Parts: sequence; structure tokens; C-alpha cells
Amino acid sequence: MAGRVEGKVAVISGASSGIGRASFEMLAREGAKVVGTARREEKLKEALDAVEAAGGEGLIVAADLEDDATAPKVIDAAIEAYGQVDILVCNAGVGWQYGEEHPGTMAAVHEASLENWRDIVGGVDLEGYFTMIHAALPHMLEREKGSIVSVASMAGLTGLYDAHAYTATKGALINLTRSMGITYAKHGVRANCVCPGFIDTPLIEPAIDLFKDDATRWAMVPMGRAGTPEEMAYAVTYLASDESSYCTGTALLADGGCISRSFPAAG
Amino acid sequence: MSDRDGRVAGKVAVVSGASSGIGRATFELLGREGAKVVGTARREELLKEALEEVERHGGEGTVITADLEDSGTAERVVQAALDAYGRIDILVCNAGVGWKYGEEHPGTMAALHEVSLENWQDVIGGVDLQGYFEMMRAALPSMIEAESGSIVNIASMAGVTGLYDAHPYTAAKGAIVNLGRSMAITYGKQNIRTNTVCPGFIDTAMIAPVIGAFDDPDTAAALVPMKRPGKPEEIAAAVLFLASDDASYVNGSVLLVDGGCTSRSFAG
Repeated sequence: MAGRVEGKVAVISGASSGIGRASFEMLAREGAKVVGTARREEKLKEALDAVEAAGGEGLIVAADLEDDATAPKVIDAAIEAYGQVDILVCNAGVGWQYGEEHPGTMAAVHEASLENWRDIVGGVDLEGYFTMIHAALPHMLEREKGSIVSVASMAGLTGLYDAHAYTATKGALINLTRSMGITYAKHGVRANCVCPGFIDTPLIEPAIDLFKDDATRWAMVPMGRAGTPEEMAYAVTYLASDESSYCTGTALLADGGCISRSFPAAG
Repeated sequence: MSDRDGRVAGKVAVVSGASSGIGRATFELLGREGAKVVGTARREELLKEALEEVERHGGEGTVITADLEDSGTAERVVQAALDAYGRIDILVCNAGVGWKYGEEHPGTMAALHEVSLENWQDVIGGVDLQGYFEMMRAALPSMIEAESGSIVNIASMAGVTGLYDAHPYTAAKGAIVNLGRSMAITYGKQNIRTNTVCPGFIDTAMIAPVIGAFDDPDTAAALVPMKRPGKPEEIAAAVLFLASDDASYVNGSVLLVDGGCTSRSFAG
């Protein structure tokens, strides 16, 4: 049976865990050849094993997007192996654990140093998206074909009480997506983003326990639960596939209703 | 039927405005993807055609010819779905008026200073807003009881940005967008999701009076970054995503499917 992205080649950053891993596996299940990158080789291998066990095909490139050479290397590897890149899923980003390892990076502005700011904005969270897209675009523009899906966050549309630099990068991604969407529309290249809410991944591990408390979980999310990586991968698959052929510049919220409310319900 | 079970296999979907355009494409796609489809619209002949198309692909459904401007229509449609299939998993509210309505009812699709109170009430109190309310109100009790449901409203990009005319229409679409958010946060607890699709220019009867503008390449580029109107099938694919369990954590979302139209500050 034909998959939803049959015959396409998809590059996914941050493919070793969480939303990236789920997208890597789902796009492969739906017929794409998948090229995954992330830092952790072991985890990447596990992801590729899972793809192959399900009858899919792909390859992995263990590399750090903080290294300027990584993005071109990943795109080149995809083109060398499969001749094309149809889908680019930019997903690699830092989470709250990064803030624990680099104090100040996930803080409010008054507690963030210029160095903290640059770590986030100049790191994988924003510059890493730029370098991946920048590396893939010439090829997509030449073929007049491509779908770029950036995983941003609900915190790109609404504010947080901390992680201010993180929220700035997510907002930047959403509006960069709009600008790319309108600019490359005439070249057949679409750009869209997914804005996840609380998703049960290592990124929010320090906060996931909050969902164990019955009152807290309803206060946090109208659906009363965190989302799963697979639920985000479905949104990515929709935007990556030709099913969304008239979508460009879109920010698809997948947050269980989190940012649709003005304030949490009383009781 | 496709060679797999279908992305909404076994579900029951009610679609308003199922006789043409986006509603028709949605009715057929949900039918092809395994849902039992219940379609309503005013025009019996077109509805029958739609159902025949579903059945030709091995799908199953039923149609109810009725006017959502008549009180009792929404309840009748929902009851017919419950009688036939025992439940409603998906409600797609889509029936609305287009520019032709403005030609038939001068003033309804005008700028505010040219809109009479009667014009305003025709749109807001008609299918464009009240019709959505009535369909959702009729379907909600069974969804709440089942603690399961997915409501997909077709609004418009003109629900998130303004137009130079059709002001009551834009008010109705904006109302639907934010009503969708309120319903999402309220009924999320009962596992009922509400989401909104905002189409841009779509090649349907609704925008027939303006579709000719796309014949000129410069005008087409000024109107839409993708330089073309969308197809009803492209909107139906968005509805299918939101209606299906693929979107199980998508709630209160406003999904633009507009070829980039509302992503720019001004035409390039």
C-alpha cells in the first residue's frame, strides 16, 4: 500500500528522541526515505533500527548542529544517498535540562547574560534551524519542490515566565516561516510550522511530574494531559505530505487547547 | 474504499453544506476514508450526486435535504445521524454564504456603512454564524455523553484578517474562530476537540464572481503568494486531519490553508 509520503526523501534534525524520533519513524512508515541527524549516535542507531524493523529505509548522520559544518554535511549525505530532499523537518532544540546544565539560558531576561542569550539564539534553537534550511533551500529551489516543517512551540505564540530567549527563538521561527512561506511559494517550496504544547519528551522532563497532580494537570492543559511525540509526528506528516499542498506560512497548534484560553478555569 | 481501513474508519461524520465545494469534497473524502457520512444541504439533486460518489467508492452514508435557516433543521440532521448510525464522532460545520448571496441580497456582503441591520441579521443570524451554533448545539449532547468527538468548523482567512467588504461575513468568521477556542477549552475535558480550518481563496461556487481574477498572472501573484486558488480537495485534506485521531492533541487550533495569503504584511 502506498504511504502518505511514498517515494519522498525526508531530512529530520533531532531525530534521536522525542518529536524528532517519532517523526523520523512515522515518515519512514509512510514511505519516505529518512535521513536523521542528532548528536547521540547510539540513540540514532536505535531510531534507524526501528525504521528498518518496520520495513523502512533511511540513514543517520551523528553530528552537532552547533558545528557550522553539520547542516551542509547532512543535506549532502541525503542528496548523495537518495538524489533529492523533498521534506525538511527542523526539530532539534534545547529543553529545560539545557537550562540546568547552562544556568541562565532558560531564565527570564533579567537573569540571562548576553552569553546565555547567544547560546540559545545562536545555538540549535534558532541558528540551527537557519543553517539546516539554508543548506536545503538551494536544492529545493532548483527542483521547484519542497516542504519545510519547523517544529516551534506554543511558546512562540504566547509568553512564558522564564526561558525568555527560548520563547524569542520560537516566535522567530513562526514568523520566519511566514516570510519563507510567501517568498518561496512561487518556487513550489512550502514552509509551515507545528507549535506543540506540553509534550511528553525529555525536553520537558523536569516539568512532566506536574501532570500527576489532578488539579494541576487541568490547570495546565484543557485536555488535562501532555501530548505524545506521535501526536506531533502526525501533524508533521500532514504538513510534510502533499495533503497540505495549499498550506504555506501556517502555524499549526497542537497543544491540547493550552493557548486558546485567556486564563485557566476556576475549579 | 481504499486498500486500507481508512483514516476515519468506523466513525460517523456529519457534514453541513455537503452538496458542493469544500463540504462536498469533505463529505466524499471522509466517506472514502471509511466514515459513515451524513450530509446536509438545500439542494437535493447535488446531495444525491455526492452520496452516489461516496457509494461508488464503496462508502456509506445518508443525505438530508434541508435549509439551516429553518429552525429544527440542525436537530433533524443530528437525529437522523443518531437514528441511522447510533452516534456522531465528527461534525464538520461548513455551510455558509458566498458572494453570490450578496448579489441576491444587496448589502449583505458590503462594508459596514452600506450594511442595513437587516443585512447584518441575514448573515449573523443566518447559516454563516447561527447555522454553526445550531449544528454544534444539536450535536454536543451526544458527544458529551459519549465523551468523544471532533468538531471541525470551516471559517475563512477572513476570520483572522480583514476584508474591504463583506464585513458581516468577516465578523461571522472571526466569531467562529474564537468560538472554536472557547469550545476547545471547555469541552477538552470531555475529550471533545474543536478546531477551525481557515481557507483562503478556494475554487468553489462561493467565490465564482471573483475567480476570473486569477486568469491574470500579475493579479494572481498579488492575490496569493502561491499564485493560484486552492482546491476543495486541499481543504478536505485539512478537515480530514483535524477530524481524525491523527489530531488527537490538536484542540483550539486555527489551521490556515490559504497558500500563504495571510502570512504577508503586504503583496510583494
